[in-house]
Amino acid sequence: MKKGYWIAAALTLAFLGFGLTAFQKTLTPYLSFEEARKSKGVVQVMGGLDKESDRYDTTKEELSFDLVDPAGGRMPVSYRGTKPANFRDAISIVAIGRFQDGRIEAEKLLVKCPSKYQGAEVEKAYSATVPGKTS
Amino acid sequence: MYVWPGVAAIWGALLSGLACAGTYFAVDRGRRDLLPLARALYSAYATCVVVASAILMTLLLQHRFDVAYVNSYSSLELPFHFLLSTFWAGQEGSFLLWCFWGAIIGLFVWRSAKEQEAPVMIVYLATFLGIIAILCKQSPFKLLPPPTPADGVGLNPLLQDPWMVIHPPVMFIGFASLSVPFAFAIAGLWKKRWDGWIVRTLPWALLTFLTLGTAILMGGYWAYKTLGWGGYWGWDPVENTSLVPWLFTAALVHGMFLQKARKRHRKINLILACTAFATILYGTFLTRSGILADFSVHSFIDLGITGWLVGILGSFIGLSIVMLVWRWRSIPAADEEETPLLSRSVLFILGIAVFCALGLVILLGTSAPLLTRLSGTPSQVQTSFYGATTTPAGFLLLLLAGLVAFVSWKGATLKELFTSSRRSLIVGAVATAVALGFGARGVALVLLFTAVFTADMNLQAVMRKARTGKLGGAGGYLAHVGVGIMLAGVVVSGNYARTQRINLKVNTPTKVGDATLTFLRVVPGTAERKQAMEVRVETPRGKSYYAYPKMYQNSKTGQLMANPSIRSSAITDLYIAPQTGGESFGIVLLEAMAAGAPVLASDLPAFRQVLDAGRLGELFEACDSNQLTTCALALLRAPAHREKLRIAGLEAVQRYDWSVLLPEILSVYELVARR
Repeated sequence: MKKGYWIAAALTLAFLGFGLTAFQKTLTPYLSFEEARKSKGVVQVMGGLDKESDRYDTTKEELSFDLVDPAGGRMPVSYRGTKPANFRDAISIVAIGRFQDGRIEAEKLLVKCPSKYQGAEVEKAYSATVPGKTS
Repeated sequence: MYVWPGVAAIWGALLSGLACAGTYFAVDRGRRDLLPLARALYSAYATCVVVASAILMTLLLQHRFDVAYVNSYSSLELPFHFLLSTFWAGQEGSFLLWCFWGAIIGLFVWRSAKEQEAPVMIVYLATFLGIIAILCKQSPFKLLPPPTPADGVGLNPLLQDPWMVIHPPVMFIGFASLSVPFAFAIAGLWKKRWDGWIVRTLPWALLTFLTLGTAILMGGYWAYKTLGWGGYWGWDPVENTSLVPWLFTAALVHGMFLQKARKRHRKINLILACTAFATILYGTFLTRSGILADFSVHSFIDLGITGWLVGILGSFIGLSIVMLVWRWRSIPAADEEETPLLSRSVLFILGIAVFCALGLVILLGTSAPLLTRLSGTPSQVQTSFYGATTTPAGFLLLLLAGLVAFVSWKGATLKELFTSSRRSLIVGAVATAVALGFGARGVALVLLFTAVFTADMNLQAVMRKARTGKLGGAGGYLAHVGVGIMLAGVVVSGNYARTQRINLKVNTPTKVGDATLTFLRVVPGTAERKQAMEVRVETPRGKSYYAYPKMYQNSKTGQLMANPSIRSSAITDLYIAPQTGGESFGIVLLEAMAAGAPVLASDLPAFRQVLDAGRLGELFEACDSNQLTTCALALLRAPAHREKLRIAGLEAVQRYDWSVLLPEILSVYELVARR
């Protein structure tokens, strides 16, 4: 039986080791717009949507928009894929992808929307009373 | 003043709970005469929790919008079943739901604990009193200052789904019942009782295993059906923090069966009961403290309870470690079991190891933002991390579950194993060959083979039990059959789903995959039915039907909601999800209306909504220039109609006038300022 435990321990350690390697390989840092412009790999940036900037090119099926950060920085993002639901209602948008040709080519967008969790009611109430704010 | 009974009930629960724990402590010190008092105090505690829940539910059903919680999560328009689900739509209510199940389960625990009653009940109560204390601080019964709002803010439209009515209650049964093995494990360490607790808590561990598993599946189905992701699992922290406790509970359940059968391996279960409980607390901390706010699609906003959550988490992990270290040397180790390497005991140990390792690795990925924050830039793992790690672990687990059907406690030789598994190897090979024929390649084939092999191995074990009339012992095998079939489905659907994005022009048949889709019209929404698009689908066999993917604006929140249309058949789903393409509201139209201009706009869902389906302005088919010309000319030739639209528009736009909006905005600011 002792052997069984040793195999189990070895298996667990091997798997944890494998997990750690995969962890380091897929780790994507959260960067400011400035840092993102300098980086080579996959990064993620977060910002608010500039609501004047978003365009959807139906022929290329490409969404492009600008993210703005509180410091006034601006980062163009392009995303080949369908526009996420509630895109324009987002409190903030996270774009994950590479910085190329002066913009982030996003593989994935995380749209943070008012959700079931607490505090959300403020945003919800706001958009309910000011229906025109998103247009 | 109808909220004070609620506040009183929560404080009553805290005080009677503390008194109950104290009395049980006296009982444990030898005051046996106090036992009836301790039980009476537990009943008082449970009654308080149930009464507090009943009051909150009543307030919600009666639309008492001056109560902040009622105002934040419910509204007049919600039907009864969604009104029920507003109870657990917010943090406070879901904490209360957790305690509600805990209070009920406790009534059974004290009866089954026998001589362990006092220590078990002290630990059991302690697991809930921290949450009750949070509820005393962050009460669901807080009042809004006057004036009372006429209507509530309403339930998040994404949660307005029948699955979301039952998902949280089922989930929290699992959370609450995991306190039972934890309480018995700590009490066992305290009183040096090593074996009896397994038999008494196995049913509760199984309950958690079942309810958490069911809740995870329901959540996945909801994501598939409502969110329009096109998938059922996204490795979001919220999902991970329910999966990890489930994996540790799976390890615990297996460990308990092992100890029950072999009267050995006591240390494993003591550790597992503590770890499984700790993962629930850790998950609660991750998802409710706001700490992952920048890393999840869900919005977590700090409620000011982070310190409390860390305190609860830390004290229970600390307690577990202290108890285990303190008693480690006293835990009796049974004599060395002489079993061959290929025996059921070893398979169980390996299975438990893989469950735990997988749970830890998923936890590592989910905690990435926290861990990396300590050493610099906060980072997140990509979802490929989870795919890469779960695949080998899933393969190992499947393989072990397949072998366990034929390897007995005494062990088996390789030759015996091969003979008994020949049929399943063939069945697995046939399934793999069929998949190969359909174009499957790579790792998916290995996984599919193992899944089918496992399902068939266990199916044979179930049949064997059935023939000998001992179906009672077939539960584990039957569960493994289900796991095999489910994972085969996961592999196939995960690897061979096809997605295509298309623009459907009105009345133009477009070929998508095998089917031909024709977008016919937008069906306007009514009170009962949401606005939907009518799409005719012609299947390759010449049959046709109508699909209605929905796209509408939620009247409360203004969010644009998209619900896919799903056509399920035995082996495929056709999943049509509408996508937002343009305007989400249409303030331009309002501006025109306010200026007294008659409006002619393209027939987009948002514009249709603003123009009240044509009552306030004309609509023409989007992208159809001919129709635009026709409509515009017709409108120019009909001055009477133009005047009618102009007046209707001016009237409708009053709704958005500053004189109306300003008080509403101010009331929002007041709401914010009060927080």
